[in-house]
Amino acid sequence: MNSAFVSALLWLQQSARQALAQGLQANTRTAFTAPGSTVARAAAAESWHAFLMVMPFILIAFVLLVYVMFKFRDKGDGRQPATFHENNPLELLWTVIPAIVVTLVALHSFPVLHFMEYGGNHPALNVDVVGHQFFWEYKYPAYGIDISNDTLVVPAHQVVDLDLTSVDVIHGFFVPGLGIQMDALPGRLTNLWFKADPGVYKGQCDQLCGANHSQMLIDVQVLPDDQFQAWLQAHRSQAGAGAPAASPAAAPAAAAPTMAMPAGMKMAPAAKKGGTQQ
Amino acid sequence: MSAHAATLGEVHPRQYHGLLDWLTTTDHKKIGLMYIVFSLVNGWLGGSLAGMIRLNLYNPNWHIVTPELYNQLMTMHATIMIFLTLMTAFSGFGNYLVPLMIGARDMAFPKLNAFAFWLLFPAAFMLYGSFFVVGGAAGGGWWSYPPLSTAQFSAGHGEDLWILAVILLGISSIMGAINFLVTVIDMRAPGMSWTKVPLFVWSWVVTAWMLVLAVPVLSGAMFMLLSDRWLSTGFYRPALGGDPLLYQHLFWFFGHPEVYIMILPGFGMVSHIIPAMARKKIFGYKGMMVALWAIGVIGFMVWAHHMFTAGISAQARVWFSMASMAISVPTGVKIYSWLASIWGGVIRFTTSMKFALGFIFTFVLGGLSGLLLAVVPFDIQVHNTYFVVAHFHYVLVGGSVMTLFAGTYYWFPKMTGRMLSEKLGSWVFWLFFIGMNWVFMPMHILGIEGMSRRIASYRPEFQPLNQFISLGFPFMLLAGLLFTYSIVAALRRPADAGNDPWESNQIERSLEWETSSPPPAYNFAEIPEVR
Amino acid sequence: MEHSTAASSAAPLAHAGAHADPSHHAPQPSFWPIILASGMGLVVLFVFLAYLGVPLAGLLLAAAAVFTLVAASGWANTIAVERRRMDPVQTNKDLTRGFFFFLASEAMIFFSYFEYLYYTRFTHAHWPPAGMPKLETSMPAIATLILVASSFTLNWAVHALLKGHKVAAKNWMLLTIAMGITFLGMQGFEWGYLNGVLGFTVTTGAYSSTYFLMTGFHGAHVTVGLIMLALVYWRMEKGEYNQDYHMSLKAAEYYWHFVDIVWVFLFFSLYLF
Ligand code: HEA
Ligand code: HEA
Ligand code: CUA
Ligand SMILES: [Cu+2]
Repeated sequence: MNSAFVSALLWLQQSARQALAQGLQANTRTAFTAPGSTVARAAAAESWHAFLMVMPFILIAFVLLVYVMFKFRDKGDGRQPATFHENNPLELLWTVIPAIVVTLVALHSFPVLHFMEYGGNHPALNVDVVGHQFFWEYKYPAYGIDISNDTLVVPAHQVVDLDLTSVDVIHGFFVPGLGIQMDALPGRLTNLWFKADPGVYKGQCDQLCGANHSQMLIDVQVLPDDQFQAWLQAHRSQAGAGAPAASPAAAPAAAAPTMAMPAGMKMAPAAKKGGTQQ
Repeated sequence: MSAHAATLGEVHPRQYHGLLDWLTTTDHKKIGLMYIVFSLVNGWLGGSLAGMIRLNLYNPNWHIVTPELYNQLMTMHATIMIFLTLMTAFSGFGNYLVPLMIGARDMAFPKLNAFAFWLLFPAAFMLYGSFFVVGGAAGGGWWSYPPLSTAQFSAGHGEDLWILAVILLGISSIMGAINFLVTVIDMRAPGMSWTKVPLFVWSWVVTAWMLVLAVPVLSGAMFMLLSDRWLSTGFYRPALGGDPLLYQHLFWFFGHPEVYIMILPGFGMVSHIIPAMARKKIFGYKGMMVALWAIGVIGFMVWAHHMFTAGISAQARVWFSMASMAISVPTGVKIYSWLASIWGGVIRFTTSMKFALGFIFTFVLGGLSGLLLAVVPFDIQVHNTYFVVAHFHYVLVGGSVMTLFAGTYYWFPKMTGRMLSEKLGSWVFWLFFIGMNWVFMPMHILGIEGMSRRIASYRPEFQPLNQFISLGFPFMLLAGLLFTYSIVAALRRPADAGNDPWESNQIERSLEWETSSPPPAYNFAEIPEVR
Repeated sequence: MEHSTAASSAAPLAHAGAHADPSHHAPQPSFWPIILASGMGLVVLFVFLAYLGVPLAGLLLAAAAVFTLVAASGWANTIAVERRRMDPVQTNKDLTRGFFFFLASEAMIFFSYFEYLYYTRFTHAHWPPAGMPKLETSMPAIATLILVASSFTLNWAVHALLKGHKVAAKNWMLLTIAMGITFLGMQGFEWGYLNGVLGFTVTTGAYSSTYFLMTGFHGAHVTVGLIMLALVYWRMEKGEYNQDYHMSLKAAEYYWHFVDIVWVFLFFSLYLF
């Protein structure tokens, strides 16, 4: 009986998982459809765990709801309603058990949080990510590379550390396939890390930042180490030649960087309009 | 308890007629009705904006509206629904019912009550008017986070008007809340001790307490935002040593209590409807009361669960995650107590009961997604995606709005003396229930699939689900039309509902059913006594 | 902050129950709420228009402000009239309670500023931040003493009045008002000094913005408190108060104490800590 319940739950989980993975041809990988990093896998596993822990209580509520609706409907047979209206042990039970369970759910999630927060020791690569209205700028301080409006390229299976900030409004760096999301705030440095499988990951600015917020996309390419080194070499020489942001993809929006204003710069009201509306 | 029974003085009541009567009234029932009508009108307008949002999102790149306008529609949709629709609807029901339920003749400060209502109009005028000023309405989302909402990035004056309107609305709600608190504390009928206060009244006491403590913090944040815009102060400007993150703390210190402000009175209404329709006393009255307070207190300690990805420390997130989950415990107490109240009863499936049961279903789902959002690793995956949109529409539309429908079907006879058509009501319920789940259920999937919220255009792969969602909207529209029609139709019929059309008082005494429908201006010819 | 109280909330007096017609219990209609609400709406709207620099907006603003004041005093007057036929004990209880809730919400506005201050402070490596003057404490300390003392003198004024010592009450009251004005004067002097001599303005930085916001918001409250005290004094002159009938006196007193307590926190947080 008990194990039947558990296997039913597991079946539910499996089929939900499959439906999510296949039902829609999701090109955007997410931690749930196709996790691509250690962080994403840990977060997805933790999410399912929490889901399975709380689900019984939700199901109990639903089963009870359906049961009382059918069992106690007025069938016109003159049945008299019951008169009880309290039951202390019962009330204690449905206070204490959920309390214990949510505490367990919370406690169980904290190691994962800890891993997501502090697990990225000894990064192989540091990238500074700077949000602009409405594009991302990636700086590789160790290599003198600075690219804008382009793909973020990082090596596979190694810890990559991102420091995020913004020059204007708050942006959100969100790459669901890598299981990462962190705001980029002006005047602050936020941080995240990941260790990814090779592949292409799509993301998008996830904090409302103005009219073109929906166009502020993110592309991450995770390359095997040798290819990544080659990429580094190519861009390094470009950087040396004094051409930042010289990738062809950046060309259409090449004018954009000039739109960005240094943080906190005071401007006359008349001048502000152009800034936001682009 | 002192008796408020007797009268004094020789002055004969002045009486105006027609429009003047409504403009000058200090009668809590008329003010309550005006609140409700105000809410309905704004529900239609806010719903129309939702319709435009859904239309725009039908295709990935339709741009029926410009991205700027999209942001404005979304911001105003939320602002109107929250401040002008839900809060006013609950104020309306509270105004109408609280004095009746505690056996009082009016609120403690009837003029203040009217004042709080009329203050809504300048605010609404500014909000709607802001669509027509240069730069359009506010477009920074209903959170209005700086720096996006500072003069540098939102030069348009819609943002100014939005801030001013929110400050005015804040004053209005604080005045209303003070009035509720004093009324309930001082004016209960003789014999009505605190353990005999009806649950709807309790829910308003907790709500009012949250309003008094939470709304001023929003006002404070708004003053600072406005002075950043107008006086070039540096509160939220990093270059001057200010910090935009602080706005988020202040906003959500208000914002989270606010979401309970929008559901607790609904809990209260359901706690009356379920016993009446299941013909059985409410189960665990004391537990319900304690649960309300637990929500009202813990609700102030969870605000940063909206900021899990804002760069706050891991320790802080541990706390806010724990506290958020803790809230599900008292909420669960309520859910299970409602179910236990039905257990063993004899259910009449009136429209109000259908909405109450439907509410339990959708609210539990919304609570489930909320609980999952409180799990930090999960929240990081879906923060600011449509999963969050699904969560809060489940609790707000499936929760609060459904309780409002339930409450309307239940108390409309008391307010007008006329019954709403149960036949139409059944249609309203099923259309709304199906439409609601149709529209908001798939949003969970969209969120899990990684679709961000607040975007005017999206990646093509999300198109099928978005079209599906948009197609569900007409169901809710139809429900709204039928609902409005049945109100108008009922008002054209003669008043024939008795004092207690649902025979509620045979189950559990609630004073509003002891006077006529609609009640006279003085509510009770003689103040009832509660044993 | 005085509100009307329904006739319905009155408790029995001598001729209670004399009326068979219950419609006497219904609250009186009144034009004041809608007038005051429109007045306030107009004030806010014209502030906005004035900010936009719309011609004549300043004039309109002044007109709207007068309109609002008239509405407020009209409202207050109605209450005074109505209250003659209501039970003072019950109405005072209601009003006092309402007033306390109002003060609680006021306290929460200050709370948001304190939260801002402390948060900013603890996220800065240096305090005051580089380039900001350290605030001079000796004069504000004196101002603090004066304000705190004024709470005592006000207390004595109320006590004296309730004991029937009208002259003493008036004197204490005048002293309180004078101290309040002195406090404002010192505050103004400090502003002038910071602003004019040190060039420390609202736009200098978050620190100065906070300083001016908190002291300014508090100063506005002192001003309102002073107006209340002045009105109370005026009514004392007219001999309108007695043991049972001194609600507005009490309200002004509570308000003044509140403003005083807030200042103590403010002084500690802004100048000392
Ligand atoms: C009526 C309004 C309402 C209500 C009641 C709730 C209830 C809850 N909400 Fe929700 N929430 C919103 C309105 C509401 N919320 C809004 C508007 C937003 C978004 C704002 C914005 O971003 O614009 C939001 C966003 C939001 C977030 C932020 C998401 C993000 O932006 O990333 C989080 C995170 O923790 C959260 C959590 C919760 C929790 C834990 C509850 C709990 O109170 C739920 C408790 C209920 C249950 C759990 C179900 C019933 C209980 C049982 C059947 C008992 C047993 C169950 C168990 C023990 C599992 N909510
Ligand atoms: C009360 C709150 C409320 C309500 C009722 C609704 C109702 C609806 N909402 Fe919305 N919505 C929000 C609050 C609400 N919403 C908030 C806070 C946001 C976030 C904005 C932001 O990101 O800043 C949002 C955002 C939001 C989005 C995301 C926009 C984006 O991120 O880009 C979408 C998209 O589909 C949407 C759709 C809808 C739809 C189709 C409805 C439909 O259900 C509408 C159908 C109409 C009704 C249901 C009528 C309701 C009638 C009444 C309420 C009156 C009842 C009164 C009495 C009975 C007396 N809403
Ligand atoms: Cu950048 Cu949204
Ligand atoms: Cu919340």
